[in-house]
Amino acid sequence: MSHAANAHDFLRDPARAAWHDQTLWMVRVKRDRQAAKVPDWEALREAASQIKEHTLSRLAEYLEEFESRAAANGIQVHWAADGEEHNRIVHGILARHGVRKLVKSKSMLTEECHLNRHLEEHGIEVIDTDLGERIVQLQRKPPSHIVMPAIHLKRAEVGEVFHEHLGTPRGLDDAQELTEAARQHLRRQFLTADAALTGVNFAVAETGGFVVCTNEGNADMGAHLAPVHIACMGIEKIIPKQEHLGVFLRLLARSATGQPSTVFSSHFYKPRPGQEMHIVLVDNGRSRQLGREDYRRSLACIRCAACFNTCPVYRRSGGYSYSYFIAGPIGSILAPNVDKAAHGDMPFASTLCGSCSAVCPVKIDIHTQLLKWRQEITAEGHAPWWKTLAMRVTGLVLKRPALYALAGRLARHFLPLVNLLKLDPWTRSRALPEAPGQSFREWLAETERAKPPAKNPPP
Amino acid sequence: MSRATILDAIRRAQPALKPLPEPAALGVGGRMENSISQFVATLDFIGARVIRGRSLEEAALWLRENLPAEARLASTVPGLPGNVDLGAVIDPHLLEGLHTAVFPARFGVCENGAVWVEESDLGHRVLPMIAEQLFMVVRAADLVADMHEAYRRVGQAGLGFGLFLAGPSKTADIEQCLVIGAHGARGATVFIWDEVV
Repeated sequence: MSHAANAHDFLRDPARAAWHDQTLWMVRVKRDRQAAKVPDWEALREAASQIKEHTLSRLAEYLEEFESRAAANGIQVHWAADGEEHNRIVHGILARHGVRKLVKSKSMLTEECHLNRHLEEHGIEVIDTDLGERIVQLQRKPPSHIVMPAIHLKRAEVGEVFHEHLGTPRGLDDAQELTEAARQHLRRQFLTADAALTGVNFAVAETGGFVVCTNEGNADMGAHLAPVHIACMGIEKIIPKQEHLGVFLRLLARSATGQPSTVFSSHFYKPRPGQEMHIVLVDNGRSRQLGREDYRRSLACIRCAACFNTCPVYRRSGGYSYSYFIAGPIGSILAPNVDKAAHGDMPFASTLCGSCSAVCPVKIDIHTQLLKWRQEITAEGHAPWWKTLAMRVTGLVLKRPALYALAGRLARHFLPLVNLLKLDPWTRSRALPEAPGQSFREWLAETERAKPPAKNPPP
Repeated sequence: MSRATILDAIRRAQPALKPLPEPAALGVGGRMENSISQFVATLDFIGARVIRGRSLEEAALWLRENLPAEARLASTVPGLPGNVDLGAVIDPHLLEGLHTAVFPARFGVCENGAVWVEESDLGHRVLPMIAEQLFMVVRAADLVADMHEAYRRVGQAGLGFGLFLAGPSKTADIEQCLVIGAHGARGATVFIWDEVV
């Protein structure tokens, strides 16, 4: 189904849609408040953008540097060309240790690779431990937002899910009590897991270490208790030096949730004694995107989701309206790289207002890339037939002045009918303004005729 | 083994070298306030409790007065009370049920209320997450204004694990309602001491 059709369904409940819109806008406002408290905010964004651009121009070298430093620190480094290989590597490690239960903190990469399904098929129990992610996992749904996975759900719905799966009393709808129930449930999982998997926010070439940021402490609870820790990262998560973390950590939490910092910014350099630590470096289409000049900068993304929270289309259509698991503006420029045909309508789910680019902490030109994808997708014939037809007809008319004049006359004449029939999506919830009686050219010709001849024509 | 394939693909795709910027030259850093009052205000904002004192004895007194006598207490700060011998705990799972973890922070960051904690000061990496309550000790002289100054103090060599810890664990995953105490500690106290009063 197209984004527009899904969004239409989402909007069937106007009160709920308004709530979704306002909830996300509140996060945007919190972000603004924090950003305004940092006098060097714009300098930070510029520095982050330039560091990322530099890194992408030396990506292979930095990955090699990272690999050798990490290996020297006793971390085992693996390389995966695609999602399938990533899943095979992770399963291989788990199988070798006879792992039956894996606790996992938030990792969009493993969503991208469909790791959970793969491991479950091999009989491994996977527990997502981020509260929001656990809620949607129990519903067997993907996250609707990359930072707040269950942002589309109301308290009472979470209560239903917990009643069914965690045995909480029916009708529980207090956020504090629901969170407490999840804490108790997940604590048991942390204490009995055989291995932990985390994502990676930043990997530092200079040190071979990596940083994982959470507010809940779930990544740490998993990683520091389990005998095996696997960290999975896209190859674009590399930054050159440890001091660059200062730039990115100042931007990340403020942009994501309007906090000055995440609660836990954990720096892993070595496995703890007796523990095995693995890092899986995943390409899965990233080197292809790196080679596409127009879209290369999308790889600078630090997954803060500020562009989601500010996007008037995302806020009013919800994450499940998008065909890719990363929704919103950034998802709409990442998804066509994966599959143009399947996600071809995502770049059209935008007003091109540019608010996404304005809040992006690494200054990705998101709305420009959206426009470029639209052109590319249309040129390759992935646009819907009615749009192609409409564009052809428009082109035909605009090239022929006589036809254009006729079309104008017809439009002026039949406008009331267009408003009445609501054939065009635009007119479904809006009335086109009343048409003037004559065209501009008719008016000009008439005015010229009525004008008295000039007394002193200019030389 | 896809290592060579991936690196080849990247080398073919990566653009001509773009310069690595010097963040300071772009105007980054040195613009935030470095003061105890700023640090305290930020800690207050992120939901941490602040206690100020002249000496560690005051911290010990506070702990004795405010913690239940039967509470399991693990301390890595010499002179502060603890009844769990972290050195004798081999398996970190056994720390479950810990009431309070007491440990030192190397320094505090005024702009975000985080403190830098190193593995060697914890005994176990999981200590600041598995305990129900945290009691962190930092000297008033050890404050930095922003994260750039912070990273100038973070060591690299020999470090296995370290973290910036900013207040108690929290989540707003249910309807954006802030709940303190997600998977980590339900409360965090920062004891700032030896300031010149």
